[in-house]
Amino acid sequence: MRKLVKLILLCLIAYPIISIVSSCSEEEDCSMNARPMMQCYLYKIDGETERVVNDTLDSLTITAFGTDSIILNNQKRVHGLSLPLRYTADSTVLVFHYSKDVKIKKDTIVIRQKNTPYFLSMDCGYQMKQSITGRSYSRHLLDSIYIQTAEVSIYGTENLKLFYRN
Amino acid sequence: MERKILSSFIVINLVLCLLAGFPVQAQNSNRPPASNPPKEQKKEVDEEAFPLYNGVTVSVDLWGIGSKAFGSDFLSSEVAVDVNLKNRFFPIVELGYGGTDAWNDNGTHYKSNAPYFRIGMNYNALFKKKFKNYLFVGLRYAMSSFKYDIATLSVDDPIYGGGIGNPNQVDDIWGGSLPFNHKGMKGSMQWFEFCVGIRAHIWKELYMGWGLRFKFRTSSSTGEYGDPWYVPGFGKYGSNTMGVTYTITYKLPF
Repeated sequence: MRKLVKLILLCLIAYPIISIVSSCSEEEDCSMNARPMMQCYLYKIDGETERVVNDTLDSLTITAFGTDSIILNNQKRVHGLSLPLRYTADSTVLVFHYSKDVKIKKDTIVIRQKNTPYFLSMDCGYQMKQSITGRSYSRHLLDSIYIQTAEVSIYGTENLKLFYRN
Repeated sequence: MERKILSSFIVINLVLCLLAGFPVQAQNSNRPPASNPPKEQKKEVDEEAFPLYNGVTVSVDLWGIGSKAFGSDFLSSEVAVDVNLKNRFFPIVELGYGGTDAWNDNGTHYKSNAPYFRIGMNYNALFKKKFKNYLFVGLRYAMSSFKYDIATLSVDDPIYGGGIGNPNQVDDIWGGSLPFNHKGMKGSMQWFEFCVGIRAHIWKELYMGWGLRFKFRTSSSTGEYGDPWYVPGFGKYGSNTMGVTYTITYKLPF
């Protein structure tokens, strides 16, 4: 009988303690719910060697077509770009302004993508999985666009190679 | 830190349960007389004391019900049947049912209910002792196949109209959001559990036990639109987790 009483007392003390301890779980890593960014790098074909070399724009401003949002504001010496894609439509239109001088033409890039909202957890919420399905563009300064990796991620993987004219 | 505290608790629990068992052992009429026989002879007596079959026990885990009462999002309960073989090996089968029906602060509703199944064996580290207290280490293979529903309420403006489809995924550049309402997504998981625990005799054929379980996922499949948040029998979805059991056990009279 003493043994039974001892065990019951032990349970009464231990149960709430373990309940509290086990409910204090570590916080989840929610870095996955960040917005994926389409990573682009600029290249050109070297006229003499006919090899692909890195290119750099002296100045670049990028705006989201149909909005007043400026994604990149007059950035200098641009070689790499991280660009968001639209969540609520299957295409994203971005306008590249190379100069404030209106004589210098702009390029417009249309990216077609597939958006898939994905639930991560109750603590971290959702992430948007985006995959590039196609592209079209004007060719004022831009020569061509090559899709390197279709899946847009948060890890900085190169998605597009933008080739500019010499 | 959590594991250290729990480990310390188990050690303390074990010591107390063993202490609780010693008086029974002292009163055991089968105990050899004061003039102890040689060690080899005593060993033979211990080993002969336990035949291959020592009975069947049925256990009910109350931890899941208790933790729900203390505010957990998850409710689960399970029944286990084990067979005592030579007081050393305890093949065990566990069948349980777990579920959750929870909301988070951002209006996401998650619902899932499903059974789970485990099979494995416990090893009684105190198999030489004649008292009815046990120190188990064990291994389980577990599996669960389940469906889960995830939905997010849209935030509507009742006065001016309009609203946000899914406040969790608002596009801050172009505006708008995508609704999220996916029901009946299918998932499954298989995992291993490494268990340590104690079982102490409390009254007649009733026992009580505590246990810790370290769970390691071996494989899983998830729905197209989201990971499961809760896996019945496993807990929060992830590569590994830890669980606690509190069992009341009845030894069947055959």
